Amino acid sequence: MKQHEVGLLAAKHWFNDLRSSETRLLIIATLLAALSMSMISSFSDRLSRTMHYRASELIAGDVTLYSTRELSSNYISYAESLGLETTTALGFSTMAFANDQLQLVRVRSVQANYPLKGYNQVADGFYGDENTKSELLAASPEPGTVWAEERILQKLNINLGDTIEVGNAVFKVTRILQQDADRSGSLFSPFGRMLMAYDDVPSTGVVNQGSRIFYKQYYTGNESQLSNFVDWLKPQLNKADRLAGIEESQNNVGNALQKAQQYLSLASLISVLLAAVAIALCAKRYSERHYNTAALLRCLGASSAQVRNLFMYKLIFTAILGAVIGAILGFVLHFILLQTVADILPKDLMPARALPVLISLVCAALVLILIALAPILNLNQVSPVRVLRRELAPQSVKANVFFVLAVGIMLALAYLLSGSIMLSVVFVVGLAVLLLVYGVLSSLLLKGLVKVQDKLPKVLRVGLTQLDRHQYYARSQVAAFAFIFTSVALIWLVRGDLFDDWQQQVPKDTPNHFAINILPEKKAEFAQALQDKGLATSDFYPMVRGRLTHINAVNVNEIYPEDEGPNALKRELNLTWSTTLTKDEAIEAGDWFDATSVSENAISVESELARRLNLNLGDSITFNIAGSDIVTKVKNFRSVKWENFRPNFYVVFADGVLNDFHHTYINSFYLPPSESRWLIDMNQQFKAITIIEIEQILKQVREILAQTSVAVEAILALVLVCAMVLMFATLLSTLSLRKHEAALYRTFGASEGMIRGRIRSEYITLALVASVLAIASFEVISLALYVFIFDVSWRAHFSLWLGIPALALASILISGFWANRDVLKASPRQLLQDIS
Amino acid sequence: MIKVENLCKSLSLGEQTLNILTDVNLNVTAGETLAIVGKSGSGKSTLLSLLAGLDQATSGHIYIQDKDLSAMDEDGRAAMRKQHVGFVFQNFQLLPHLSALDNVMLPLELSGESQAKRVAIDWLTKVGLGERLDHQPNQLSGGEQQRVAIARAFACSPDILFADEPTGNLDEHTGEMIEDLLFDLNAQLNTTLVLVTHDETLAQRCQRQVHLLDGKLIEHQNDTQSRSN
Repeated sequence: MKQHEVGLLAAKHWFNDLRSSETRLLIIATLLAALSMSMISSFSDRLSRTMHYRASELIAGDVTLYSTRELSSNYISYAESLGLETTTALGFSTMAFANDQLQLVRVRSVQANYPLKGYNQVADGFYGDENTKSELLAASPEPGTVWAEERILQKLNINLGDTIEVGNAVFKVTRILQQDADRSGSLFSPFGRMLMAYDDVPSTGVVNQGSRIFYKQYYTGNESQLSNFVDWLKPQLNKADRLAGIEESQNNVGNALQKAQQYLSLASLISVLLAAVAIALCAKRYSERHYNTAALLRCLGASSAQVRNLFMYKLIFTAILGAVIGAILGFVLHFILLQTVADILPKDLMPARALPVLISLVCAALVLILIALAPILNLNQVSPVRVLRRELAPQSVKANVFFVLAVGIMLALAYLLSGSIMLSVVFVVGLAVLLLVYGVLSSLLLKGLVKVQDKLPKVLRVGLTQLDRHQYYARSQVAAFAFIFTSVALIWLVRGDLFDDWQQQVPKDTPNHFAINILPEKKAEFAQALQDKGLATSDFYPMVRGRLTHINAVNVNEIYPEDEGPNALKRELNLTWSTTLTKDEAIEAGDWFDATSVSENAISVESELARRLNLNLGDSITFNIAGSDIVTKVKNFRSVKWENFRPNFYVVFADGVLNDFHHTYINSFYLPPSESRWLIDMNQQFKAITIIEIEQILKQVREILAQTSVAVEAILALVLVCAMVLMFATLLSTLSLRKHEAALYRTFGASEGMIRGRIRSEYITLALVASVLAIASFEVISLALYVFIFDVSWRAHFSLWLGIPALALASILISGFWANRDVLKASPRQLLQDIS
Repeated sequence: MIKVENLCKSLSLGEQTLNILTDVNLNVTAGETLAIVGKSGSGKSTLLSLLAGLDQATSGHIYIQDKDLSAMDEDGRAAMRKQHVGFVFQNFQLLPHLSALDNVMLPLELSGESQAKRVAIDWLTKVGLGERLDHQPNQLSGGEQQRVAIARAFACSPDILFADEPTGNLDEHTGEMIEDLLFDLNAQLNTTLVLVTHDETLAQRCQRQVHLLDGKLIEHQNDTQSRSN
């Protein structure tokens, strides 16, 4: 018989096999694994590409070049010759004049095609005014006009449509600038921003030799064009130039979405693992159900290779069918998932790609093939004598190799979905250990309960007797159910914590304004004004600007030549001092300041910056503050929750070190949007203080979180479906045994009601024992997560102590009776015929 | 056709050895019908499985068409079965998800028979199931299932047919009909038939009977009666 003939024979048998429950379950489990992976990876792929795109919107191009020297026009010519789109900007600080008042402003003069990516957010009125409308414009001011931030207009006491003088030129203010498309630069700049047409700069006469100007070029194009250009450009840059890519832009929105994406990946990973365990159980049952077929084929003269190939073909057909349908369904469903967050994504959303679908398809098929390979190859070991002596079971093939392969593919999948090697290893190894522990514990628990069964209610006594008769199956089922309910409970827990985290991140009274440049002598008066208004405010943090110049007496320019160093080295840092940590900070290494800290100029460094600078505790760091060098000693590393919308600092000094330097204060407060007119009075009262409004950013974050929550709920439903399939597979694994018993009971005169009662008792006992194990393991895992990962105090989850048994009882009884419907309805003769 | 020399089969049960067959010698000529009879546990099925190359002897030799089975590996014995042997079992051994036609086609397809479907239909028609080609085993009665099994066994025109209690799962009337069918077809094709049974009536329809008693073979001639059948 030729190979293709074996394939055709396998196809024919496989079509007939489609009627069997174990083949259908194998297909469903593979389908769910593929669906989960395809849906989540398609979703994540578009989301990450869109986020990538949005990140590039935040710097108004894919790549930007910033410099304090005039940039060569050759860069633009070469970029355009490569097919890149370019634009140029010029930035400077100058005085704006109106109504006999002067105000320092930061001007960005831009060409007509600015921004290359993203939008300028502008408004046609003041913030908080009922009729004010915001809009996103991929455009720049017309010549003779400017777009200015609201605080400039308030300081100069002018309205939209009024004129403003910049140097020798007069401009009409046509829009209020809410957000510049290029958001680089500090949010906490004391000066308002203004956008102006590039060609208007000469008429102002403010840009002369010696003026403090920055030059910026923006480039956009496809990846290879950009990569070629950057490779060409880099050798020509000097220290004054700074090349920035999108990876340098970070924002709160990104963090929130990233967390959502991580959660979806985690949930998807759990659903794939549940599907994989279901596949393992179904494959074992499939193999056992085909011992006779294999024996008969051998008896009829099929060689062992033919038997192996026949079953391998069938396995491949099953894998292909399940994986293709699952991957396509997942792809379709990702549109629905994406729809839930569509409003917050750019209109020109990245198109869907076939790649994630194909990867999911191949991975799901491989999961099935590798996990089912050992039981399927077992069929090859079936002796032909089994046709005469059915009790003969095949010798098990050495499953170690396949087990290693299956673990390997699970690791690869975990990495594919989570993007973290560490998380993948912990997850897969943890799962293996967990299943092992479940096996041992379920055995001990069942044995213990059997010993004290006389003291238990009748329903449990009957159930325990049943389970005790088939210890191997009982142990496997308890372990599988405990795994299912622990997984579901953990997904539930993480979801709850994620939502809490999001809600805490932007609670109702999250500060929506920052006040900076508060002079020490005005601090008390300003605080009183806020208090009189009844506003919730943060603390006042002193702020000194300084540049980090040396690490352990070595100039940072020597340590990080050219552009290699972190951004923190390329600009002045906002430095502060404090006697205490805020609630969103935690010491990760070293100790908080003590009595000796002032004398040794101790500082606390944000842990991520410390990592990027390769700092160790005790290192000396030199800052240049207002022309003076100050040598400090690193006392501790500190984590900071950057997304809390409160003033945060990379470097905190011990109280007493910086106090003599000239400093101002910063604080944040929440002002209801309806009260925004009050800011005009404040600006008049405290002319030196700059108030920055971030309500738009908060609104955007809130919208994203609300919509991402829907996606998270959807994935939870998918995990539950996978759990149900696994549960069904687990129950089916003992169906033959149950049929055999039922046939005998019925033959000996047992009524359907009695058999139903026994099955019910068995399932109730199974559900309760598995629940006890699931609750115990869930609490242990959550304790470990809280203490070692989240670093928060642990508390028992009493609601789940009731929830898990309720879910277990309902789901096991419903799916159990569904799986056993034939056992209950069929006549003893039918049952005996079935099992023979 | 079949020659058995000093055949022994024993099983190790821990430290003990259980002798199932002891020093069995047997010759079966081409076209002969032989019944192996004996009580339950006497080793009948074990002897059948060894003769058919389904299992390996502990010692001794079995020759089929002068080829030594004990010198063959598992695949070699499978090839021999494919070429020379057909089977009928007590519990029919039909694949439950395949139709009657597909069950009969199975050995033909394994042998690479290009006309498998036509041959299978012919055989099912011969055994009276021409109208039930697409029926699955669970839609057929026990007698019908055994007829499908007989069609499957003869479809490859085997030299030897091994039958293990072919009427053991059937009522008396159906059993007789199956016996008639089996012996008629066997006579038509001049196939060597080796059957295992504890049914004396069935055994007496064979030309020769051998009795197994505690793993040892005792031979009886029964030529006259079997010929008359």
